[in-house]
Amino acid sequence: MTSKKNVLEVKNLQAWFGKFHAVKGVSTDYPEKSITAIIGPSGCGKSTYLRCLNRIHEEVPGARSSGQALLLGQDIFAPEVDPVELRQNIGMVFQKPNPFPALSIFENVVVGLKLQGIKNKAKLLETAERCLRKAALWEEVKDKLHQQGTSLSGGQQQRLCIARALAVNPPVLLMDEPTSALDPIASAKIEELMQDLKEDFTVIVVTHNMQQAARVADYTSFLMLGELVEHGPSEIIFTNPKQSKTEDYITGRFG
Amino acid sequence: MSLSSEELREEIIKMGALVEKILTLALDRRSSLDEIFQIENEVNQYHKTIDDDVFKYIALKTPIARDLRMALSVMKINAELERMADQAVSITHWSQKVKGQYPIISTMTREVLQMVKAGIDAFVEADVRKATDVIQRDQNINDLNREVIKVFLGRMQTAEITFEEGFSVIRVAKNLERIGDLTTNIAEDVIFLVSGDDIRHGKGEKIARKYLKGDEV
Repeated sequence: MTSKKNVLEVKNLQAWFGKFHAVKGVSTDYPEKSITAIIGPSGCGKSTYLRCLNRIHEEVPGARSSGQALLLGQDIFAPEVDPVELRQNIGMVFQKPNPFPALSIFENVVVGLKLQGIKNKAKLLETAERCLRKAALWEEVKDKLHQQGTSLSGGQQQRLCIARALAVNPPVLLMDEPTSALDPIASAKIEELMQDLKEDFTVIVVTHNMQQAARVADYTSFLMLGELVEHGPSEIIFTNPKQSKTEDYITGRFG
Repeated sequence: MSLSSEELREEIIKMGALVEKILTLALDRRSSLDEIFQIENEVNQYHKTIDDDVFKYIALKTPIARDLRMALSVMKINAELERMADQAVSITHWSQKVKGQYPIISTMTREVLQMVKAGIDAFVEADVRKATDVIQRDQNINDLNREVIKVFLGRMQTAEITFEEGFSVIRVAKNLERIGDLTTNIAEDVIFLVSGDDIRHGKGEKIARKYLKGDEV
């Protein structure tokens, strides 16, 4: 595990909303082909932290951040980095599925490629099929690619959003509570999908579901009041964490 | 509805008290086999109930970290306690055949009872130092058992005592030695419960020494 190279290295990341210090100097390495879960009480800064990593945090008026996040060695906060381009390298899947309502299933998947100027229909179709297969959705939608994305069930919509994120082939995929709006069957499919995705991507997932973190994540970070309390292999965090705060939280004794 | 981790712990404490009682009665040699069987039956019921409660607890509460360690420890200690009650039955059976009074058996009995009490206390108080102390006491019990075998084999060979007498004494000592082992297992489970360290099979001697010295772990 330790011999894997790091795809993303976050160093002393801080984030503010106005005067409110939401993330206080978090540093973590994310190895290739791994899943890291971020857990912590509501309001502990985990979503803000995630949103810093594809620079959507800074879109909020009054919000700012500092520190470094080296994506394959390059700082994503460097002045020459275009946030829009960055988001093609660090994809995001949100809590509630958010397919573009006016677009078909096919168009939803390839929208990122179209924005990149790719018009070759064969290429777009090939990418759509590959990504929908990877998102374990192809068999369910292959006969209705031109129906609206919003016609699908919640679980299918979430997998569509994952396919959309995969289309631009980002090395890092961020997921913000991707299953909290889904039933157990749809959640299980997403979890299974995450295991497949880590073969090609580095996944960072925020979750409130301890069992989910324990099931899917290779590593787990516990955040509290904006600080990283503990980070380590999930098999340690969920059996014998080093910090009593971590143990108290994951066993439901506070939070 | 499943129990909480605290309720599982309380069940083991109750069962531990019952096992202490059966051992005390078996070792003072005044109870009949029937009386001992009656308590053993109660212990067996506890054994099944606690296993079932742990099973439901794991299924329904999907415990992690200290709650999971508690569930696993309760399940293991449950099995150790049940085996200790079996030993009490065996002791009653063999000690009824023993005619004489032997100071070495009295010493062993006293040591084992103290050890069992300390082992259960270590669980109740989640005290790793007490648990380590229990583990260290086991050596003394093993030594006494070897001594009993040596001495009583000699007495049987010289016909100083009958074969039945000697064999029964050796069986009682063996049962006592076994109770020492089972108590050691409980103490090891307590260390796992509190610290997550698995010190079984000698691998954890260093850790055990650390506990005894009172170092931070």
